[in-house]
Amino acid sequence: MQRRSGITLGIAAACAAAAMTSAACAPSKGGGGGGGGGDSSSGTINIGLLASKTGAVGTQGTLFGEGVQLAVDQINADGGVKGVDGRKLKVTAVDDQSDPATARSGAIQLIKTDKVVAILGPYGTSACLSASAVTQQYKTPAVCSAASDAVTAQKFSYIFNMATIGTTYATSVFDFLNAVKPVAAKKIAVLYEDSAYGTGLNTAMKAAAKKNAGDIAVSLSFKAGTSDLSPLVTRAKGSGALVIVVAAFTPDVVNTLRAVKTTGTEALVVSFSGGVINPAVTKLGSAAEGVVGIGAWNSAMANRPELQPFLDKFKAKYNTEASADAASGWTAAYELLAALNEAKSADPTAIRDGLRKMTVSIGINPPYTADFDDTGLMINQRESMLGAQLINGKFETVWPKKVATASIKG
Amino acid sequence: MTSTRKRFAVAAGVLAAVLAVLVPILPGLDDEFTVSVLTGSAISAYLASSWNVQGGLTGQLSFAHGLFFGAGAYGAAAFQVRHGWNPILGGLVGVVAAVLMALVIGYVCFRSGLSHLYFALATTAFAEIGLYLAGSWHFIGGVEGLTLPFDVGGAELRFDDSRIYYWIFVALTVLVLLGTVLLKRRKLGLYMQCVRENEQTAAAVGISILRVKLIAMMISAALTAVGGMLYAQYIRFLDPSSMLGWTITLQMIVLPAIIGGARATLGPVIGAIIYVVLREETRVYFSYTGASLIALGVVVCVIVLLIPKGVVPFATEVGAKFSGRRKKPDVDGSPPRDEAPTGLATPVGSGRS
Amino acid sequence: MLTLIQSVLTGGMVGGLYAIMSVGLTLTFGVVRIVNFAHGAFVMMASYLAWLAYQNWGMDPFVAAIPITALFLVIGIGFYVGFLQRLSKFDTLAQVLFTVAIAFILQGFATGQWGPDPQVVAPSYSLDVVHIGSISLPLIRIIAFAIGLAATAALWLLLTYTDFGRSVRASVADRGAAQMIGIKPSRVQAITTGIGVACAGLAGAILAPISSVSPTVYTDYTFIAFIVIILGGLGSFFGAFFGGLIIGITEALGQTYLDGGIAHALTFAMFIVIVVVRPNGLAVRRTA
Repeated sequence: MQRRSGITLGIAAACAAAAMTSAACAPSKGGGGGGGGGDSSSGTINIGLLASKTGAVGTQGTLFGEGVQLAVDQINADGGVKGVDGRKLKVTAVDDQSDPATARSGAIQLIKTDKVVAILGPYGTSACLSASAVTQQYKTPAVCSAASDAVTAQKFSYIFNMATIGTTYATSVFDFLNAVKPVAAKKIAVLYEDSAYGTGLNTAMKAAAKKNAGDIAVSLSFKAGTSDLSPLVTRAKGSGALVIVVAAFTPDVVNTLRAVKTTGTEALVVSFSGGVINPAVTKLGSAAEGVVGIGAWNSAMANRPELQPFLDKFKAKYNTEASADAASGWTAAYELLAALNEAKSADPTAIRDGLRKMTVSIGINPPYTADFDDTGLMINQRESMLGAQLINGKFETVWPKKVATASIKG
Repeated sequence: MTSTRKRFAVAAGVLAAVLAVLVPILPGLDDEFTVSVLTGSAISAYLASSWNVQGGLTGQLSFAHGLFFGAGAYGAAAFQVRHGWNPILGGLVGVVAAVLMALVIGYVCFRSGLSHLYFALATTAFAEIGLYLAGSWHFIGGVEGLTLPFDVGGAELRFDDSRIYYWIFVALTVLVLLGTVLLKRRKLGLYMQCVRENEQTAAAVGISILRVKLIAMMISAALTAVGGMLYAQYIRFLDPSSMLGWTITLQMIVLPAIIGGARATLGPVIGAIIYVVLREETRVYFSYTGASLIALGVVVCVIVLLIPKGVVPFATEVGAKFSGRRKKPDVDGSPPRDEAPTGLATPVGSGRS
Repeated sequence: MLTLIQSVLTGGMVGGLYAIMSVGLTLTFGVVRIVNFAHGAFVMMASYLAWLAYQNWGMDPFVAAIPITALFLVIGIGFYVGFLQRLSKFDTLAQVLFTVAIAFILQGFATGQWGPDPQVVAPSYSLDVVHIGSISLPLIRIIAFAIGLAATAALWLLLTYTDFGRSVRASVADRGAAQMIGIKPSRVQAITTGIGVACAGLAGAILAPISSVSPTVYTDYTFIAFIVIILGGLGSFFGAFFGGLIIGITEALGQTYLDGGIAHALTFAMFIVIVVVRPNGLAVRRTA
């Protein structure tokens, strides 16, 4: 044994050296670093897409990424970034696996190896929080999508959050209810998944209730992916709730709708439009009728001639219906374009300043103007919210009245 | 003994020299991504080697190490964020907490005589319970996690240059390895290996099984917690699901140890390097989602089937054959086994020992 | 009071599903003594197959269950002959690692092929409810529960009263003696593994319209299955069924009276208690 430890160490040293050599060499082979440097004065502008293709928010991240890519293709087809000599955008994508540690190393990879001048993404609060430390350290702007206001509360100057944060969303739920069904605002049950997203949203709902003359009858947490939510829905029913707000993603919205149907609960089911406007929900058929999705975007937005091309192009390229997350990706890319044009430069810090200064109306996303405040948070959020309801198998905008295509049922 | 010590010193010196020479001159070490991959390997190597004091040396497969890792990390981070403490201080609290947890979990499991598979399942259960409790604990940020303050300096273990973390973890790993080698030679270490090999015989010769197992677990827990303390400063953002669950333990700690060979001192280190590099490489090269999982699965399957003892013992045997030495019997003098054990000889199908 | 009954019954339904998942595992682990951590992954793949059948041919999952179960019988035998036979001589850890790795491969494959998004299988009757007084139970779960009970009973009958069952028990009890009287243990174990995996296939197909069809559910399935069979006592089919019921009811009660996350943690706490206090499980009698 004693002799063997000597040999062991010797051989192991060789293995270690070999492994480390390969680790050092490989990324520069595969990462594509150095080609057409990001902030040189000609060639493509390298931007990074840090979004989850796998993991807890893999679906949303994938759609976000697809939206970004579609937008970049469109921007390039329309002549590139006009404010910077018409240079075209080039996207390098990294999957952060919905994991903070991977988001961190992915951000480092994009900035240091792929030499991107800006990052779009990540999607999801914990990945955003993790990546924001990196982007701040290396002074590269990032436009992420996170439901929590914790991201911009850090007061980092290089992170921008384009998503509707929980606080705004919660307030909008009350705006919606008070506009279309005031009595329901006083009888709400919140079903939230026990993740950062769900817990944050639940806290926001409680705070918003106090400010908006509403009342939450009961708040129930569950583990994401629980197949049988009927005990919880039964409790909600027992509390006399007229509205069930689901703070979770599509699979749990689906399971809630199932549970509502099988327990015979008479309540309006409301959730974030990204989770609701999804083929998985429509496939449920009659059980999904009447479900409401609240968000800044839905595919039924009235009077939007610009919308149809986006929807068609998305469907054509990816063979899936576009969703709110895809629209977010598209929007993020166009916000970056506006920043580049404002800055007239591809220097990361100039882009950051451009993001601060710019305001832009993006074709598929009226009625609001994209504008970041000093902490990097998207403003004008409350005014831009819409409510869509599934009526006869199709999503119709039911709120606000001025853009509604149908009136609310139930 | 002296010639062995000399041999060991020479080998360690070779290793150190290789590292010292290679690392600075490796092409692209100013490549941040390489550094982050290497640092990831170093962290995993340290954690796997710490785990191995219980796993490889004493033969107890613990999946609760995520809790110890988290205790160190959250101890350091939570006190810093909530009370402005220096993270080293908070980390010490975390280490103490980890040791206490190890004591409790270990006592419950070992006193009931749980053996290998059941111990593994029970520690997994403890880890999952811990994960849930952590999610509801406001002090550590609950499910929303904790973001560490940005503007602190070296005295609080925060370094802007991530290379420094790499060296810290390498140094720690070397310390653990040295400690393990020394431990193997002392009575306690021998007792641990006896417990690993055959509990009944060990008990028959008067070794206190419970005591040995508990000590191993507590040492392992303490070391793991120290790693957590430093990790918190490196990653700057903590949330329960990325630290405490059994899948994290599996991927960061247990698999590397087993791939490299839990019986060999250097096994976990080599396993960690292989594992982390493989994981990062497949992510970079393949765009097929799930490719890295598939690659990992294939590698583990191959290793388990063909070289179940792990990479390092296998390499050692190959090396021994090449230099013409005969195969030596195992540490306790028993002849080499016919079956193909992995580093932790656990009898098939046993429920309780 | 009504809430309690509703909760217990709902939990019982879920428990029946857990039992279906676990009954195959108690066969491979309890009888053949091979640890298969890929069990949940097999369930997941069967769910995906049922989803594909539903998606592409409109096949009802309960109908699709028949060919899927047959397919998995073959897969199980192949799995044994190809890998497990060799692994059965290795120690437990090796079996765990190998089968976990297989599960990783299956998960990676499912994620790459069909994406991380859960898929929905919703046949027309999937939301029908049966009302007993003011208690409501989803029809689909009642059917699943019945199938689970039938499968458990069938397995028990198989193992207790048939010649094959006797050869299985014989080769487990004393391999050498069994060989001497002409039983081929490896053949017996291959078929037994096949049956165990076939049960996983059946479970997956039945679960498709009830639970999520997604690449990551298998970790929960596998762990729950192990908890159930240890709770019920290794090798006992009705024990596994009971174990499933207990876990399901505990979860439902937890969700009804406490919070969702606690219910999950409770399952694990229960496991620790059982393993410490009564490791042979609740069913004192074994079938063999």
